Amino acid sequence: MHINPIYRKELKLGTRSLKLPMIFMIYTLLLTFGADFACRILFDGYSSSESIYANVINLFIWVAIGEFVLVLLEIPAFTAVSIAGERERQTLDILLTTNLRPIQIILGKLMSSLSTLFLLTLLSLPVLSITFSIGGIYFEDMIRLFFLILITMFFIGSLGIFFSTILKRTSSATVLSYAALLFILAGTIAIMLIAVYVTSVREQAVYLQTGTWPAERQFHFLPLILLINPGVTMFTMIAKNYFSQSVINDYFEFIRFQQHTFLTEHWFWISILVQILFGVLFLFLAARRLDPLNHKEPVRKKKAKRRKR
Amino acid sequence: MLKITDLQKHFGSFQALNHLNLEIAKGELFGFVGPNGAGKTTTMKIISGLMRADGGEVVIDGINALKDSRKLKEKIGYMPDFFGVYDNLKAYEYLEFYASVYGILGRDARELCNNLLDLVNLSDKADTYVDSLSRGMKQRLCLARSLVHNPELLILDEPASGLDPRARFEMKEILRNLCSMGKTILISSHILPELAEMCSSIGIIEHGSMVACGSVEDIQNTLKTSNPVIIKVTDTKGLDDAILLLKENPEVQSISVQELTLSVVLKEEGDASRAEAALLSSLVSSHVPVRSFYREEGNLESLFMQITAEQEP
Repeated sequence: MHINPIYRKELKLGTRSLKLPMIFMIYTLLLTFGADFACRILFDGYSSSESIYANVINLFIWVAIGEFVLVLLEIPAFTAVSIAGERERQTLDILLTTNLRPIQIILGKLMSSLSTLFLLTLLSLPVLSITFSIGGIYFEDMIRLFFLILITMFFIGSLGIFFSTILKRTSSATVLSYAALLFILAGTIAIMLIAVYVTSVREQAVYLQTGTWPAERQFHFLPLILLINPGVTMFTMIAKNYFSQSVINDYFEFIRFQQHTFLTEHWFWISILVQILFGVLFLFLAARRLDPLNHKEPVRKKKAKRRKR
Repeated sequence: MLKITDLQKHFGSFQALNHLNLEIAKGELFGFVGPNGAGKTTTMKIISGLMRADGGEVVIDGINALKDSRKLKEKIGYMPDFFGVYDNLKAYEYLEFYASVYGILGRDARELCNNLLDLVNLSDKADTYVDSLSRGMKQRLCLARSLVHNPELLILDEPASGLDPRARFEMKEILRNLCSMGKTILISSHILPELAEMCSSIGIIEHGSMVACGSVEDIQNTLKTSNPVIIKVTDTKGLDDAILLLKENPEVQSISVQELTLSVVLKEEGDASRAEAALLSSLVSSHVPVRSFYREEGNLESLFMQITAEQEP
C-alpha cells in the first residue's frame, strides 16, 4: 500500500521529537487529575449503588467534555503550523516542484496532525474506562464520543490547515486559527443571542404599536449557524442521551426561533454532515491556494514603488 | 531542451521579466548571470512551475511548461537559492523521503540514495543528521535530492553562494560530472567569472531582459572592440613617430601615453579586426619599432560591469 509520503515523513519526525511525549504526558495528567477530581466530588458521601450509577453518567459526561475541550484546544496548535512551518523552514518550494499534488501535501499534513490527536483521544481510554468499571455507560456512547471528536478534529483541523496555507508565518496562522475557533464556539452563540435580543426588542416595538405580536420572527434561519459549532453538537449528543430527547427543539421554541422538526430531531447528524462539508471546503481552498500556478502573488506595493524609484 | 520565448512577469507596476528569450541545447551547462534583482530567480521559478508567468512561452523538451506543469515536474530538478532541511532526518532518510515522493520505495530507494550520496561525495555522511551538515554539504545533498527522479534538466539557483573555495570547487566538479552524464543544467549566479570557468555558454540578464547570450569567448569578442589597442615601442623616437602617425589616422579616436606604451582607442565603426590590422600595417611600413601590439582583454568582472552598465535606464 502506498502511504502518503508527507504523512510518513511527518510521523517519523514526530516520533523523534521530545514535543510529542511531553504533550501526551501533560494531556494524560490533566485528564487523570480531572477525572480524579470529578470522582471525589461525585462519589463523596454516596454509599448506595443507585446513587453511584447515577453519578457514573455524570462522571462520563465531565470526562468526555474535558477530553473534548482539550482536543479542541490542541487542534489549531497542531494544524496551523503545518504548511506555514514548511514555508518558514524553506522546504515548501522544493515540495511544490516534486510531482506531489497540492492536495496530497495538504492531506499528508492533515492526516499526520489527526493521527497525533487521535492518539491523544485513545490515551484517554483508561480514564474513560473508570466509568465502565462501575457500569451505567454503553459502548455506543463511547463510540459516538470518539466519532464526534474525530469529526471535530477534521473540521477544525482543516480550518487550521487553511489558515496555515494562506498565511506565511506560523504565529499568525496559529493566532487566526484560534480566533476562528473562538468564533465558531462562542461567536456563533453570541450572534444567536444578539439576534434573539434584537428581534425581541423589535417585536416588542411592533406589539406596542399594533397590539399584536408578529406571526413569524425575523432571521428565523439564524439558528442554523449553530450547525458549525462542535460545542453545540457535543451538547446535543450529551443532552439527547442523558437529559431530554428534544433539548435543542425546546431551546429553539423557548427563544421562539422554531425550526423544522427534522432538523431539530437529527441535529447531531446534520451538524456532523455540515462540519464535514466545511472541512472538505477548507481543504479544497487550501489546496487551491497552495498551487503556485493557481493564484497570483501578493503585490507588495511599497516594495514595488521603491524599486520603480 | 529549453526554449523561453517572450517571457513576461510583473509584480504590480514592477516589471520583473521583460520579453525574455533564451534557448538551451540538450547537454549544455548554461550559466545565467545577472545582478541581484535582474530576474534570474523569477525566471527559474517560472520554469520550475513555482510561479505563474504573465505572458510568453516556456517549452521544455517539447512540453509547454506553462500549460502542462505536471508532466514538466518529471523532467526538471530544482534547487532553490535558499532552502531548508528537516531536523531529525538523516542524510539518507532525507533522500529516501524525496524518493518516496516519486514512488521509489524500499530496496530501490536505498540503492538510489547510496548512489546519489556517492555522486555528491557524501557517502560517509549518510547516517548524519541533515541539520548538522555544513552549508556546502547541505548544498550537495540538495543537489542529490534534485536528482532522485533522474531529471533531464537541472535548474540550480545560485548553488555556490555562501560556499568556501573548496566547497565551490567540489560543486563545480560535480556539475561538470553531471553534464558529462548528459544532463542539461541551467545555473545562476551574480558572479560571471564563477560561471565562465565551467559553463559552455552564458546568458547575461539585466532588468528582466537578456542583454548578452552565447559562449564566454563570443561575448568577450563582441565587447572587447571597445577596449583600447595597446602598442609598445622600443624607444622615444619610435614613440614620437607612432604618435604622429596615429594622429593622422582617421580610425583613431583617442591616444594616451605612458612611458613607451600607447593606449589607442579606435572608433567603433566598421570591422574592428580590419582596423587593427591596417593600423599595425601602417606602423610597420613607417618603420616604427613596435615591440608588441594587442587589444586589451579586460577581465570578466569588467566585462560584466560593462554589459550591465550599458543597460542602466
